[in-house]
Amino acid sequence: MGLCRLLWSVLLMVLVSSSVPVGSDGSPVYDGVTQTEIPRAPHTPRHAHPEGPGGPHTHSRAFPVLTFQFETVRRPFEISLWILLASLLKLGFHVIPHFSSVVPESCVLIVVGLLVGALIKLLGETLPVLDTQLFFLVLLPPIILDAGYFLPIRSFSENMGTILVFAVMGTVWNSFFMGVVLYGVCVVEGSELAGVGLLACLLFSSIASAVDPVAVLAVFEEIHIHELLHILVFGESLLNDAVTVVLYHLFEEFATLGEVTVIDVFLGVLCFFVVALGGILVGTVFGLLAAFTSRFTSHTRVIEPLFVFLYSYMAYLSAEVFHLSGIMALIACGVVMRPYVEANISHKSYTTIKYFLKMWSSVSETLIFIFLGASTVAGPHAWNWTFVIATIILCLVSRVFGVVGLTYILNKFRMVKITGKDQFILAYGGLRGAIAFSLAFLLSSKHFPMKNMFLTAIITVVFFTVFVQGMTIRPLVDLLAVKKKKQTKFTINEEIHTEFLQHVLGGIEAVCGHYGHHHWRDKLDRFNKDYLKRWLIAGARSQEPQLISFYNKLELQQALRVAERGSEARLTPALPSAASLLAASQKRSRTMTKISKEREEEIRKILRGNLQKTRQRLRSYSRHKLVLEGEEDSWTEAKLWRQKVEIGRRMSHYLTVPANRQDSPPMRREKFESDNQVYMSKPSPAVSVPAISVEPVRPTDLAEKPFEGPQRTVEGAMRTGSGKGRKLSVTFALDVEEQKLPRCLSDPGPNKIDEEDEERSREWEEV
Amino acid sequence: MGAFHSVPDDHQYRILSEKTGFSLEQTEILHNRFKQLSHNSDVLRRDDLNTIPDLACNPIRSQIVEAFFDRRNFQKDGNGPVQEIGFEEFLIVMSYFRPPSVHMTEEQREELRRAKLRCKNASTILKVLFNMHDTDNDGTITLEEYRHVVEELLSRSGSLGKETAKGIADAAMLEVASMSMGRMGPDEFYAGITFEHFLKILKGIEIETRMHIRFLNMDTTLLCK
Repeated sequence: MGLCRLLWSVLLMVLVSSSVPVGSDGSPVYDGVTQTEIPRAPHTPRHAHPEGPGGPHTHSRAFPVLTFQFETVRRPFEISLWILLASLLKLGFHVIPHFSSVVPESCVLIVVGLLVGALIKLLGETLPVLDTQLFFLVLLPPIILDAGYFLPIRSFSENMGTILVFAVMGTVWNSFFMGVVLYGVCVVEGSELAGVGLLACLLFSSIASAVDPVAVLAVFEEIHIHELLHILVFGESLLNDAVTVVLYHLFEEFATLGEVTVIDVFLGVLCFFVVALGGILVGTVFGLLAAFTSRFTSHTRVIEPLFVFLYSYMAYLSAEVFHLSGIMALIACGVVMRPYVEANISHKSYTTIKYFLKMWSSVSETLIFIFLGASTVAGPHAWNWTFVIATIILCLVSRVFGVVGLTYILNKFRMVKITGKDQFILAYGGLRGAIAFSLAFLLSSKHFPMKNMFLTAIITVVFFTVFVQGMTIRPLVDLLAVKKKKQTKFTINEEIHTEFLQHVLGGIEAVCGHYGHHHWRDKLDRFNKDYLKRWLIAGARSQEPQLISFYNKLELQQALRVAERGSEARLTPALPSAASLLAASQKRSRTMTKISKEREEEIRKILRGNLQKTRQRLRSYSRHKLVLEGEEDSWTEAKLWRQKVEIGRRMSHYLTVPANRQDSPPMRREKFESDNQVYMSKPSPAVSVPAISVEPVRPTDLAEKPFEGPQRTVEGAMRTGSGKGRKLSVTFALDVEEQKLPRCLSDPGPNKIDEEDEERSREWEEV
Repeated sequence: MGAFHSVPDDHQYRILSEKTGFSLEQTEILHNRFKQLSHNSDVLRRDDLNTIPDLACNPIRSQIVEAFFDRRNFQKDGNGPVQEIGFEEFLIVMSYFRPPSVHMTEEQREELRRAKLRCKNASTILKVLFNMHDTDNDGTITLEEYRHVVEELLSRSGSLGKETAKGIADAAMLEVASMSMGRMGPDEFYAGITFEHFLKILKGIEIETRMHIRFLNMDTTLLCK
């Protein structure tokens, strides 16, 4: 009670001083309560109704117009207050102009946590500690799910071997090296540390040596290093959870048991495999279930996101029941379910899932860091200079040795070598975070009398890594000129050739008779297509090859860009062509009834087809970068709907549209990361800078070409000349004219026309 | 085609191994494979490759097979297809897919690549890919050829057919055109993708780092039929 009142008054002070009006419903009550309902003991409704069950009272008591009853809402109120505080902080952090570029957010949040914790302690209330249950069951899953769902599969699977080696061998090496040396230090030091046994040291070091995904994400998403490094560090931080879980339980068991036999060691190794593979298995099962469920959700689109979240959370919890690796379960679930779910769910559901995940993970992260700060003030501390300093130094040293040693071995097998600079960043980026803290918190003081010392040391390590390493990594990256992330542009050529290459390599392996990497990948793809997709994806979408979806996505973007541009709707005729013919072949039986409806469905289908390939290529899984997703805006859909007639009428200059990636006006850097195009909602002059595109890469020359006589220009531009002999002339104009209506098009997938109408009308209401 | 006796001996292996960069062991393994495919004869024909079952489900099988029989891939200035090849040619084509044996940093690799490509008929793996697309051997990939490529890629997906492929190929050609030609005047035309343009469009995906098959641990006992 006192705590919430305290928090409340703190918030009030903050808010009042910044004169932000907030509906704090408490103040009028405090000031002008007419009744004597002072908040003290738990209220019962009896007080509110003076005419109680005891019969009519003799003394008159006015009917309480305004009462104050806090206890019933206390807990939710506190929680909401904390989350509100966290979000307001986030807001403030980004409002201050240059702050965010110098100090990583995690540092600020920890400092705030420290301040709040200090304030609370000053006022003598009980401090909120980072409750382990809360952390592992509520705060951590959203972050991991967010990371797993948007994991860049291609680069992850390409580097899987390296990541696994770093995660497993690196963590094991760290634990043992640090544990043994720390034990040596304890023995040598003598006096206070004599009671720390080898197993305790090993346990401590296994906690302290795991790279933390939350901290890594928080810091690395702001420094934009190139993809390989990012996925190495990040992948390692995710996958080492299995190792950490095993080592932790192993050493804890051993420490309590007191003696270790060879059998135990062997069982420990076995346990690792069980934990890791079991976690993945659980995740896969739930992922497939989610995919299967999503196949039938065509009539209840509204709860589609719920299935995704629930199944993932269940996977996590189920894994935790058996002490399997919950993190790996969550990642496996997200990875497995994503391609199928995305093919099945509606566009809006996809947006909902994405935004919810980002939102929850963002809030979680903020809360974690704040609580970490607050718990630091709270926790019982036992400071021991030797131990703490030894821990910090050993963390760094063992990490460096581990990275260098493993890289040396790995480079013999890798195609793309890990350079020295990369190794430095890898070593330096091994941040520890809240997971280590929570695990330390979980230790029982009975078996580990030096628990407080461990806690203090871990907190110090976490602070050190987050503050020192987190703050300095960005200037170091710039200083060392580490390769930065390339601005990716998804071109259809790359897509074609990547697929082509994959098949070529598979074929060559078949010729050599060698069952290599590509052979298995081809087999997996085929299995995926023949069986999984048929079961898990609803309707005709299951037949759609990747290339088509990618192409549709491109066309969609062009269409949207054109629609954005307003009056002169120049749409690539490829928009009707591939899409329409695609659907024509899929639904030959459907005859076209109304052009307008068909077109609308076509556009809507393409909007959904948008989902597949790009999402896989989404390389950023950061929190801040989901802004202005114009293409998913229902407003844009409405605009398309309005434009449909014009689109139908105008067949235009095919050439201009794909090249029309204009240079973008200066935008905040955060918007450059995620999905391709960002559309501002204001209509713009036709030619100059219509759409704000994120990838300002292509030469925009063709766009500036005058648009009169487009068809002729197209023909002229593409016809091969006499110099080379009469090849087939690429007359796109011809193609353009061929694309006459009708289009036998309808939504593939489970939507019927009625539902489309329904959806459309609903959407109109929103607009 | 060099004279290659059906009973190989070490000396010839060594020559070949030096020429192509495979180790002696790998050469021997590949030779066994060659003999298996060609039913113990000295020459390999298209039919021999076509009958590999694993290759049958590959959508671009014909182009892969053609790559082995394309003189451009194993002779410096060769042109046109042949009907049968010997082990040397087989090995040469395979050698393109071998990972570089030298430990190079990325900068060095880039240098080497640029140096190789400056010479006109540089036989790198990208050239092999290019040759696969350029079926009429004129040095450019025209729209028709590109369409054919896309059709083949999509051929396993059932009834989607030519027109989808055409649309995709058209869009892709446009991308290349816009990327390599820049602003085109009203009278210019885009003849086809030359090798330089091809390289440009593939620069983004760093295809060379992925184009390798590990020949490290091939085992004769695991050879599929």
